[in-house]
Amino acid sequence: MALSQHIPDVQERRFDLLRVPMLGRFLKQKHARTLLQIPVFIVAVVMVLHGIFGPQISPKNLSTVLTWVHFRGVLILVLLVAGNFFCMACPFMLVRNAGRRLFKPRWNWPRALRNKWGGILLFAGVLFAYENFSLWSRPLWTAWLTAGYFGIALLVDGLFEHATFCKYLCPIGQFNFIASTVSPLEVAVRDHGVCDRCQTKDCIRGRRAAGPGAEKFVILQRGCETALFQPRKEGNVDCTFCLDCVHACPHDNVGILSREPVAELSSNALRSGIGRFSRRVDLAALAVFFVFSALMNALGMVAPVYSMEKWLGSVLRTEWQPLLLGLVFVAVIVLLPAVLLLPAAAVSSRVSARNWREMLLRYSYSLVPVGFGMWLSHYSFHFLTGLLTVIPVTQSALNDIGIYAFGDPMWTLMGLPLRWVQPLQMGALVMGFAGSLIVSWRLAEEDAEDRVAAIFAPWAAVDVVLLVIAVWLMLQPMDMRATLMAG
Amino acid sequence: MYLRRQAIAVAATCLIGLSGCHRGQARLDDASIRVTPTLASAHPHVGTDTLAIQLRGANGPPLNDARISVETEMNHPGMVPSNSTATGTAPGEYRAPVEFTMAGDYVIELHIRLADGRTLHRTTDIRGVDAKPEAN
Ligand code: SF4
Ligand code: SF4
Repeated sequence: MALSQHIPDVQERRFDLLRVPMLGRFLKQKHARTLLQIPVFIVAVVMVLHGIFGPQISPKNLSTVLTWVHFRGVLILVLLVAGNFFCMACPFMLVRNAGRRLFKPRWNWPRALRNKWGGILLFAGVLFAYENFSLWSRPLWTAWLTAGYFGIALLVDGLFEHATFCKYLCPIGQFNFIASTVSPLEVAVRDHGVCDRCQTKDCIRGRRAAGPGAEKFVILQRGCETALFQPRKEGNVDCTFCLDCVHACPHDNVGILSREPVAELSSNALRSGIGRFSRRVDLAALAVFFVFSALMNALGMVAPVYSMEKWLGSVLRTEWQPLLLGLVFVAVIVLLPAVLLLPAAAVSSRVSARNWREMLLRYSYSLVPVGFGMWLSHYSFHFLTGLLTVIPVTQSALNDIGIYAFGDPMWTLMGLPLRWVQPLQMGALVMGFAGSLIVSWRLAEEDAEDRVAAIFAPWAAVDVVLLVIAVWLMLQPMDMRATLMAG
Repeated sequence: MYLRRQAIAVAATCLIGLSGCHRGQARLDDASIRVTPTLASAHPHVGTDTLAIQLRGANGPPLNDARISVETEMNHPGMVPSNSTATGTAPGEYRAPVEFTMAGDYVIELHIRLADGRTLHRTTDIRGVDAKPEAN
């Protein structure tokens, strides 16, 4: 059966979140994003304060509980059911926007750095720090990480124009850009005919007016800061759901539209602000990193990683954790992808008579759904099993500042029992696996109609291996210890 | 200006509050009381273990008739603590069962109320609780 690619034509009737009564009206308000950012910012400030001044016991501190249980869980679930709404409500951008009222950025981000390598490096750095310093168990460090994040976003976007931090550096942003390729909503034009007739292209240019005094101009409305020109935008990569294009378009021609999840992963169309997937080594590397770091992050929760490190330690005669952990990272994030993907690319390139490098790049994106399934399975485990733990921690924090109206902390509040969560986790993995199969099948259909199965097979095998590893990891008993060499 | 001053006052109150005032109890978190918790197993594993707690006053006398509640929790957010109460076994000596529900690192919190009503709070880290019982 042909699973031919189907990215819906904009003329089709698609669900549009901006046409939903009340919600749509709210989101179309000029200050909707700010109104969403303010409560998230307040929560972030409370987390930082509690992390610094509250009890330094991880399950009793809002900094660790909200960051590592609730934020990650909500983030991935919203990406699954809607889209990149975290970036929409991002508190770092609230501070940045406030900062830009005082300091106008003067420079453009250097051309050589306009790619995803910096973002991958920072993303890897955060994951490494999470494992190496056991950030989940350290409220103070988690608080400083959050505060540092605000500082770096402010600094980068204080110096460089546009959404430099979001597009090139922010690890959460890079995660969201890749993960949102499986989301069912995207910011897109409603009617391409209107764009064809449009004279102003405000969605990308924004609107400006002559400035007072020495200022050349003032920005009345920003255009897309991540350089996505709506009529040629495809999919969710690099879209922060900021809705600047929605507000800028004079024809009310941009909506938040439904679409087929994962379809964009099998498209090699020329995308505004991105180019072709098959030409973007950095973007393909980010996709691969997204997938294999999901494995690494889950591996850090179970006992085999400690055995692996002990063995490595005994071979190398060292107990220096950064080195041992670094080697495990290299094995999982560099060697394992190389061992799996290079042969798959070689086989499929032989069968299709296409360049192996192009095959490697294009099919790398097909792994994103299975990676998403792993992140979803992992983060929803913590979120669902620890869902209600935020209540007693909040009660306790309030008690500490003399507010007893909400009673004594109900420490027995938990979340869903493991026996309910595990089938959901399994469902997430299988769903991701199915998504990856669909994407690689579609890519294979494009490559050679008569040899679809032969091209598809090696990539399906990679998906199977990833699924098997993920299921095995999920069935391991949890083991979270701060010192890898302990015990 | 007034609003800004108010905001600073609220922030300052939060900071002071979060830094740990409690319900006006006389807390005694200085080092004058020696609390020595010791876990029975040298290599703890998942299941029930026993925590021995020794309480000594400033000059070394055993402190009897204290109420000690013990909270055992995994050092990971999203986990529920298990609670138990220590019972006195000898002068200044107490024992409490502790439950390790899964492998990993734990924090044990001791909430101690001395016979004279003063309270103190101590935490102790338990590293590397194993999944499997030790082989004898
Ligand atoms: S989205 Fe709006 S502003 Fe942009 S080209 Fe289309 S009609 Fe013009
Ligand atoms: S302005 Fe750009 S980043 Fe913002 S929602 Fe529109 S396309 Fe996405």
